[in-house]
Amino acid sequence: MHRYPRWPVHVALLAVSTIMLVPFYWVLKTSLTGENIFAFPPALWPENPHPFFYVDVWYAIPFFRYLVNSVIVSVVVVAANVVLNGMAGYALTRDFPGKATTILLFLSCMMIPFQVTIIPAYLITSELGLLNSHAGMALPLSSTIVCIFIFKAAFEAIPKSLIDAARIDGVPDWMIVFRIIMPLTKPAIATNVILSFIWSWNSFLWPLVIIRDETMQTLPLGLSRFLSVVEDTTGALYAFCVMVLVPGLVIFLLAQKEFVSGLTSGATKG
Amino acid sequence: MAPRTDTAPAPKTRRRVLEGARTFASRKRTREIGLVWLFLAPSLAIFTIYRIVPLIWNGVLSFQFWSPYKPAEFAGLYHYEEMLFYDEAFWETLWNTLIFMASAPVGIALALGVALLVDTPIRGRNTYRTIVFMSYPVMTVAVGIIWQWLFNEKVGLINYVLISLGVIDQGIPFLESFTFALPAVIVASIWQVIGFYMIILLTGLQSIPPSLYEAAAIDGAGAVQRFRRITLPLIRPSLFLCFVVGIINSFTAFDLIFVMTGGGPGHATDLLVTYIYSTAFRLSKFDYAAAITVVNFLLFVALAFLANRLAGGEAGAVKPGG
Amino acid sequence: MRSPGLLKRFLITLTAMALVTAAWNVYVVLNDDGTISGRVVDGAGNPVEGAKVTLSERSLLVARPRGQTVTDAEGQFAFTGHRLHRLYLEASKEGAGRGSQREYRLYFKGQNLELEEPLQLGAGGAT
Repeated sequence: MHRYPRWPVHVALLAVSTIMLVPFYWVLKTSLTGENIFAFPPALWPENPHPFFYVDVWYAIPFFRYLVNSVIVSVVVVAANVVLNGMAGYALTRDFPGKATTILLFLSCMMIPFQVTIIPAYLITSELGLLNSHAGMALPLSSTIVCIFIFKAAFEAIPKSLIDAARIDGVPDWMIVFRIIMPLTKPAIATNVILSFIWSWNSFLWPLVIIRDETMQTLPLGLSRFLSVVEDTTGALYAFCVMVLVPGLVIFLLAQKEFVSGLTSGATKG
Repeated sequence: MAPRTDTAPAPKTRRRVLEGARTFASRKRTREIGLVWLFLAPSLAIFTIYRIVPLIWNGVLSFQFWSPYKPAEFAGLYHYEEMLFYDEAFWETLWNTLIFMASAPVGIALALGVALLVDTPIRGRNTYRTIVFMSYPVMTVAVGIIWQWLFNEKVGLINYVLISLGVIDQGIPFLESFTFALPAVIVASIWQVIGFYMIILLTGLQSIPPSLYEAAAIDGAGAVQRFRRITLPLIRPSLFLCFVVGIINSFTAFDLIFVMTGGGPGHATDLLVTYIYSTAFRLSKFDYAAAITVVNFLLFVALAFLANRLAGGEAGAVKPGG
Repeated sequence: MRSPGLLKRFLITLTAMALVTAAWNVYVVLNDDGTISGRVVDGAGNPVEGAKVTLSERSLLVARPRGQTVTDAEGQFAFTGHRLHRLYLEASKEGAGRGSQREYRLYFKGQNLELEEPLQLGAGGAT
């Protein structure tokens, strides 16, 4: 099976990689050189690159404010997801009246894409007085059904005898949670963190709907606003784009394996 | 689970102990059930507030005349009538959504090719995988901006490449063109999601035992035959999962279109989800948008149901939109 | 498990970022007095006294005048306390002509700027 030459595979994969990477390169290049939209052909390599578009953007928009908003929302969402989904997932491993109904309810909620409920969700959020707030942005994302079931599966995989043994040894409950359950459900927690991070960090439609106040905007919102407000600033726009991409990409590259396994199990389990 | 007493007590006391254990157990049971509901409460509350109530509210709204400044009034099927018989934009966006969905197999086929390539035992395959996958978790708004730039009429890289290759003489304003805008958006969407398809398919490929291939090779099956007889049938669940992702994608691909074209030109790139947004939040026609949403939802459920039946009840997970 | 390695990687990255940010801020604090100094010379390279130097701000879309000063006997001029990051300097003198408007881009607002090349009169645009 492995007797064919390797180089065609490499050539093909290099071509694929080029296609996948060129868009990133192109935007990076533009952010360093700007672009004269009347010059054809466009330069393939950066000529006289300089970082001043980044300086322009930094002073043109409250980038740090956007970043902080994004971080706040993501941290709240990730923390809420881990805690709430863990709790719900644990509850579903126990027997209780109404369990079947609850599971059915969760499964049918899964069939309701959030985009479908956006209008009443907006009206409800407005009733709750959470428009223009971090809480309003975070709340709908604070629990995820897929992750509840991932947690449920992880809890069910823990041998009961282990916990019983610990109980008999007089280990207090909180210590059982931290010393036995948490380490054993680490993959589930990781999946949860990754999924909820991606969803909240990249979330756009929901903040777009409920945020009017400029100081509450998150990164994607700020980016799209900048696109629509300022049109004459090619270099600055792409510098902003790069600045928005970098935090996400850094986190992805630091935790690639976790991202891949998290996203796959998010898609396959549940 | 009541704690057991180690030594067997004398018959008389034993009964009392058992009774005590039972009340203890039942009190413990009540407490446990209370705890279970306490644990479930926050999640249930969130799903009730943001999924179930909105779904019902949305249904009610679609039969009403309502705007934030007007009290509700019963409208019957007015909105549905308008949508189905008088609103060409609705049909156009519905059609676009279906085209968008129908483009998923293209992306999946490409992803399958890449997955087969990175499944070979070559050096640096992990790097290749990372590169292909990298575009998926990236912020879609940024992806839209990048691709809008690549599709630029004058200095866009794509036009430049096409002109250099002699395919066209003059730059095409892709995103302003009625013909090319939707395909252009689809290309960007495939570029973003292909890594995800690849990873899903790769998991499928890696679950195929190598011994099957070896046996087939001994039986003299060629590469193409091995692919058709072994690979394809065995990665069916993964392929199916990719289709589900593709379907969901066509209902939720809001960010990309909002940024790249805003649904334009005309409604050439409007999907149902973007049309709903602009109807509700640009034109403040919440009631009408609610009616479109109902149709959108029914279509989604029907497709999910259909896909589920096709897969023989082997349900793929439905990723809730984020 | 991979997690310890992961945590370490994150810690290293975050610490590195914090250090770079801190160093950058220290540098900024030390160099943001907003001074601009330079010389004005005529076409032959001799210093010009009494030339008017205009400082204007270039924001993303428009340019606005922000200050004016006059050169001394050696042709030297100086501004202090500007809070700009993208600016234009232009020198002019009655009878000696106008220099072309020159653009300077700074790394942060109020960065101290010492012109390496003097502004030249009569070299650039029409009078």
